[in-house]
Amino acid sequence: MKKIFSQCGEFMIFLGAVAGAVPELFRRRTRRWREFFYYAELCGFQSLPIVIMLCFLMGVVLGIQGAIQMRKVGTEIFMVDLIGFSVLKELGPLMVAIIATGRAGSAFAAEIGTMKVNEELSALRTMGSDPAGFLVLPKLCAMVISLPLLSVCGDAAGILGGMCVGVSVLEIPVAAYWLRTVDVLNIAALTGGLVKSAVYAILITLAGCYCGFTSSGDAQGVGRGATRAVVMSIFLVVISDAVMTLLFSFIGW
Amino acid sequence: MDERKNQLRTGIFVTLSLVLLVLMLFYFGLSEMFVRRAKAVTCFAESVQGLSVGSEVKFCGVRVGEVTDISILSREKLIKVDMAIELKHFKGVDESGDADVRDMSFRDFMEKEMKEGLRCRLEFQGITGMKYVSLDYFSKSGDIPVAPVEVREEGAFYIPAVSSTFKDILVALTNAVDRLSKMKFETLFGEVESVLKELNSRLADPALGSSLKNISRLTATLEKSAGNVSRVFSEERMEKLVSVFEQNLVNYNRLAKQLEKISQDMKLPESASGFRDMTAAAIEIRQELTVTLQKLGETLESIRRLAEQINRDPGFIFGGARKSQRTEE
Repeated sequence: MKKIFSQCGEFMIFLGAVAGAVPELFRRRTRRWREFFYYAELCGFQSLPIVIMLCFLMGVVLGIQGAIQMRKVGTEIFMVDLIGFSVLKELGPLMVAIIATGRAGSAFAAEIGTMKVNEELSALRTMGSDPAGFLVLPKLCAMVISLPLLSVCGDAAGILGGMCVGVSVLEIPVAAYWLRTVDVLNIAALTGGLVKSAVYAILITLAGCYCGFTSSGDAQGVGRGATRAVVMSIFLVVISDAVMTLLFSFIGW
Repeated sequence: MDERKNQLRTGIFVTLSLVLLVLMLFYFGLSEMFVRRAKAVTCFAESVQGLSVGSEVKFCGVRVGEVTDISILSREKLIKVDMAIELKHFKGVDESGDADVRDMSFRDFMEKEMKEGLRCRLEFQGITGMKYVSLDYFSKSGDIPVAPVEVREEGAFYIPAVSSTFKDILVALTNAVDRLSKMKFETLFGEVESVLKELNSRLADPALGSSLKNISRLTATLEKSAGNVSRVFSEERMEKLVSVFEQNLVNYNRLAKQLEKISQDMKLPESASGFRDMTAAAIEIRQELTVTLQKLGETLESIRRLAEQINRDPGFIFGGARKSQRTEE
């Protein structure tokens, strides 16, 4: 129990340090564009093929399962609603978050952990730089921008996957499927998913960086830190998803 | 160089994603902002369970809008349903110009249709329990019901509603159950019991037993007769009869054909006309013969008188008739 409290305390300290460094973003001298583009490419462009493929397959799977069940009661056309809302509101952002956890969260933890092992963090502090702001903010910005954009691509791929099933298995005409999709889906569903993605981005980055900062000072510690980052990120993503879904349902989103 | 590559990739990724985002935003909602709509209100005096904000509004089966609000009119105890109707679906309605012109044009059109029986009705959307508002010509009367006071105060465009089929069924069922509940089952059962008793006593009557025996005997006789008939008209025999009948029919046909041929050979029309001419000639001859015979009769009468005269008076030939005789004559 004491360990949990002490870890929570450490996380709060880390969070405070990152929040304290946020004003640095508005100072031209301290902006680190190179790092931002590097992480944006790592989290966004490089994840794009796998995100599109997984979301497309998820749409296909969801479509097939939905088709089997809905065919029993003759409500095949409602499969469009099922896939559209599931992908836009939940599964699209969630799949992207899980991929980002695997790719970026663990990478962040390993990177910062290695820096800690090499005592580069101590060197940064000695030079008067705040490691939290210096290392975390470029990653955070890159993730907050990349993840919602990845979610948009994932949403489109998921809807396309569902459409393939609808057209081939249920023999719904492409035009009818598309019109139904446009008819039932709304901006609230799309923006709700994007907001979730942004929150996931913040949580994954913070969890990854925190696990890197708190990893023990050897090679095994770096590995453990990376593993912990993945577990913690997924845990936080699922918890936040539940909380946000509840909140959004209260405000009618 | 690596930095430029990073920037290029990130740029491509951001551009692609933003284009997708804009497209999705447009198709999933922003395009709705450019659709011209008219507001309309209807009120239901029944439960609207299954209807929600966003439910469809259909005009003769065509989706023309959606429900924007559902509220309760506490004074009239009615459910008020606000609808936004997209004008692009009504080709004759002027959807250009400002909102007032559009509304007026739409109102004119709807008022004209309401006089022809256009009304709102709740309909089920499949088996899901969801409902939609259907605009169709449900009423046969041209009288438009007056809007509830609260709607009139609001100044909203009111389309009257009729009760749903489900409600009609429910009302019919309730009436049926009411009638059933008013029935005096004790009396009914008493009557049924007495009828059953009567029936039992009739069944116990020995006359009925003997009648039944007679009927069964009759049935047995009938069965026997049917057996005999079937034995007599065995299949083989029936086949023979049918073949003979068929043969006869063939012969009759042949005979009819021969008769037809003979009648053609006889040249009946020509013969008939000759016969007619001959008959006419015979009639003429008969008439002439009659006249001749009459004249012959007259001649014979004259000869008879002459002979009588000669008998009475032989000198008559030489001297002629006396005066008194002439007078007598």
